Amino acid sequence: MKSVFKRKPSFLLVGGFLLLIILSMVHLTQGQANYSFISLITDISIDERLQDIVLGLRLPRLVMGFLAGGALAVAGLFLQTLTKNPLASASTLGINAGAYFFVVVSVIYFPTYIGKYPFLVSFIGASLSALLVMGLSGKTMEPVRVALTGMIISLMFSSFTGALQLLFENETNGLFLWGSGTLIQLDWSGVKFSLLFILTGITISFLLGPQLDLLRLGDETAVSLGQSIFKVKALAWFTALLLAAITVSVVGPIGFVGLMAPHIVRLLGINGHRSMVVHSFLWGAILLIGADVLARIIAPSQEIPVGAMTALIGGPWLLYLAYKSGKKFHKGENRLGGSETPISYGWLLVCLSGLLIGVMLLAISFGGTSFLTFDDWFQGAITSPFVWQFRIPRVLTALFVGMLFAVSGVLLQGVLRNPLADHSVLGITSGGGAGAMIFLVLFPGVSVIFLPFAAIIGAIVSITIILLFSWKSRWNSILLALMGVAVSAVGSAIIQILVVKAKLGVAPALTWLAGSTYAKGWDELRIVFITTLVTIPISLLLVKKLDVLSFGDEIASGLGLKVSATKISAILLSVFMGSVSISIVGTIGFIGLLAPHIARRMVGVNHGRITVISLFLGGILLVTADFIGRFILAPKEIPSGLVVALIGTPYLLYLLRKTK
Amino acid sequence: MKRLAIFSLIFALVLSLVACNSNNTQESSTNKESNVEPVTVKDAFGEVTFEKVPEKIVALEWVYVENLLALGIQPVGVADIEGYKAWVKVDAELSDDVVDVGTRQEPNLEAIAQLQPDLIIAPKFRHEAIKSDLEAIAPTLFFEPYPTDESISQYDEMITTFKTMAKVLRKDSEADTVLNKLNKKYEDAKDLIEQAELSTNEFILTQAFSSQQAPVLRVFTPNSMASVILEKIGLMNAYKPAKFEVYGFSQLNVEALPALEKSNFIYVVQDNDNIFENQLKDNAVWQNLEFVKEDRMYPLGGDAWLFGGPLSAFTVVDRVVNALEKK
Repeated sequence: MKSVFKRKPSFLLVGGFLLLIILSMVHLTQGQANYSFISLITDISIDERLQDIVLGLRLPRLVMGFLAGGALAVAGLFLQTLTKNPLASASTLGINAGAYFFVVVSVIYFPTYIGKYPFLVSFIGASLSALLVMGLSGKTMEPVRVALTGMIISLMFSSFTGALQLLFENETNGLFLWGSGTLIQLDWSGVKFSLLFILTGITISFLLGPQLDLLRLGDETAVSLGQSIFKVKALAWFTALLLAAITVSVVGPIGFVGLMAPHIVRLLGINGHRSMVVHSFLWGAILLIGADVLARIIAPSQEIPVGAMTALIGGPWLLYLAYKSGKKFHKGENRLGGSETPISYGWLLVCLSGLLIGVMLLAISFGGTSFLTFDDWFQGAITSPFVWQFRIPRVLTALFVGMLFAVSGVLLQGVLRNPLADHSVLGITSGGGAGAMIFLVLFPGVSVIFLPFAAIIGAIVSITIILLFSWKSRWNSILLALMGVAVSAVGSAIIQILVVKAKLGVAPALTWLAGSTYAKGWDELRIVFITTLVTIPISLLLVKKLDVLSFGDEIASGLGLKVSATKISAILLSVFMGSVSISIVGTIGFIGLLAPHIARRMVGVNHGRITVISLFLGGILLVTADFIGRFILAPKEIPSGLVVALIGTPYLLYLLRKTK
Repeated sequence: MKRLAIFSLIFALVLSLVACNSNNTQESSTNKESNVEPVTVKDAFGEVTFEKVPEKIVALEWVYVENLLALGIQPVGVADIEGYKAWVKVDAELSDDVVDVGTRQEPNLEAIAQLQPDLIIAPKFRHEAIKSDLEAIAPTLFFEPYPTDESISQYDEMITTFKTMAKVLRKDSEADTVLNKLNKKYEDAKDLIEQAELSTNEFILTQAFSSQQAPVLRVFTPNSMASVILEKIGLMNAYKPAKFEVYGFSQLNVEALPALEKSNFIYVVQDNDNIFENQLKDNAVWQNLEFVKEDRMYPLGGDAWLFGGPLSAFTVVDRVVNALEKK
């Protein structure tokens, strides 16, 4: 806890308050009714209309901002102390997303209860997420690993929530954009509802302060000083979860405030939990109100979810924190692992070919609403123009895109020697999405043909940032993945902000962002087919070198391999394959993660074999996902990207658990 | 070499598929004997010629569904029938055997193809990207209900589209009858509203719903179709947007309403998402608005479709007159 400023805490407190007051003033002048700051002050006593607006809309919003920001910050502070982890907070531990998922579920399935117990429901969700993170991240509670587990749990709950919202559009209508949290208040009911809980939580935190100070000395010291650590810890966890859950149940999930505020407080040189609680509350409020002010400066008279703004600021912060923690990481060699008793390669190929053909036949025989019967097959229904026009190119596009994603995953994982590497995990996907979105908004008139180039540029920017930041830790698996998730958060925030700012003009972009194999025809198939034809043979040549690389850089260069050239060309090839696929089907993730990993468990460590098996698996996965998406709600369709995410995120968690 | 063999197998398979594709796309459709002259009409992309009268029609947007019904034609396929029935109430029933072809955003191409239509009608702003797919199924007419050209009003576009559809379907006289009736309707409604002696003829028209749990009001601008209809019956739109709104409405929240409080508040809201009775009920700004206090609020019902065609216009006029007369 190095102090940057050697100032008296009381002086800092006053300074913080001044800053908060200035921000609040600006905040109060923002809104669709135009009032200048001066008229706000001079007319408030005479203009009844102005009183209504300020007292009925703007002030509740401001106060809710104080409460939510403060509560999240204190929750973050406690979580950081409890897990001894500078990366902890309600959002990085997946607590916000879990609470929110439960709120959405209860709105859909128990609509009459939610009005009465929204807080209880979100508290259960919050606790469940916390338990999941603790259970899955192992006993050592390594900071970066815990944070990564939490972020993936966030991803998982978010994709569950996304799926529910798509399936139950009417019931969750009011919740849709709330997904990223907003401070909008229409009266004082939100404040009234949460005030008591939050004040209770803050009071407990304040009282617990000295005990937590002891806890930081280490469990044993605390015990020897006569403290019942179990009780203290349990109470502290309860308080943190309470604060997070109550916030989510009123304003929705807002990320990163709880991560940043305690750090700012430490940077200011505040010590001791009592004063840290007070300062964290203050800085949480400053951050959240500041983000809300900024959101409305960017898009006046529109509502950008404040959660997107905090992610935009908080993502880089997380990246920086991860970078700092990364310095401590020992530069151990990463290992990919792989089955030591591989299944017979020949048999495997036969089985997978069979499976692939089976899945393809199933997918091709399913039309908009019904299956082809055996008779249809024999009577040549397969040659009907519409099967040719729509079904076959779509299924084949899914097949090749799946293959491209899978092989690009093999390359990334091989080079980085990182089982968690994948386009979606490393933020390449959302970077590409953000690039495409910026292009659509900046150059609305330009042909969509150039969209892929924008996506490729965005993707390259993301991967460059991540690789540069994690250079020092030799691209440590878990650190790299955490940085990827941070970059991903920023990318999604940019996308969300641009969607609100550009309004309906980007409707086609939205479909694309969901990741969909909808309406892919022969033109798209031609592009992915040619890409596959060119890149797969090159990949097969390159992966041979990956086998050599797996001995370690020094041995590899001793064996005459140009290590850097190999690595860079493999990464470039992988990003190229991924970007082309993204520009065709949108932001479909996780295939590059799943396929190579399953392949390694089947055939061991030989990269040539892994690549071939991955090709099959990637194809099977995306064709199946596309089929499920078309089948479940026919004739309505679910984007295949969402189907993949529903399978992919739980697998990622499992994978993380296994990564040593 | 095993894997090479498998690759070549797959690629050969695909290549053969590509080759076959070009032979199969052309299929002669069963021509019905028809003695009509070919007609040529202009749609959003250019001129389209129809040799014969289309009979099996798929409509991918609700306004085209009701246009067909107005001309006495049942479509074979419609996007999101459930939504159509919830939102669009017109004086013509959609037959029960019409097939649902998926969502309006991503209609199911195969479901459309299975119906073997001879005409598809689609909005350009949604389906420009799948133009070639739709045209492979059947000749497709694209219309642009939200003209980016400020000089074309949405109302004129709606009338032109209706007439164009009638021309293609050889129902010109039916279209004229409907439009003449509609104009007569406007005249009658104008008289009724004059007799009602309202305190003001100014109005704002809004479609309201909740988003992020917060109330959102789409307030219609003078270039919108719904606003033109209301002005035709002697009312005046009080809302003037700061900039041109291509979709014909601005999204406002309750803060923007005090500036418009002197007008009549005409609104469309769904029963299960009534923001005025739920979210706004206890809001101080809302409670003190003049049109709330003086009870100048006129609901049109959730199924008055403000983005529809002539039949929806009938419904809107009826509902407005009813609501205004009651008070």
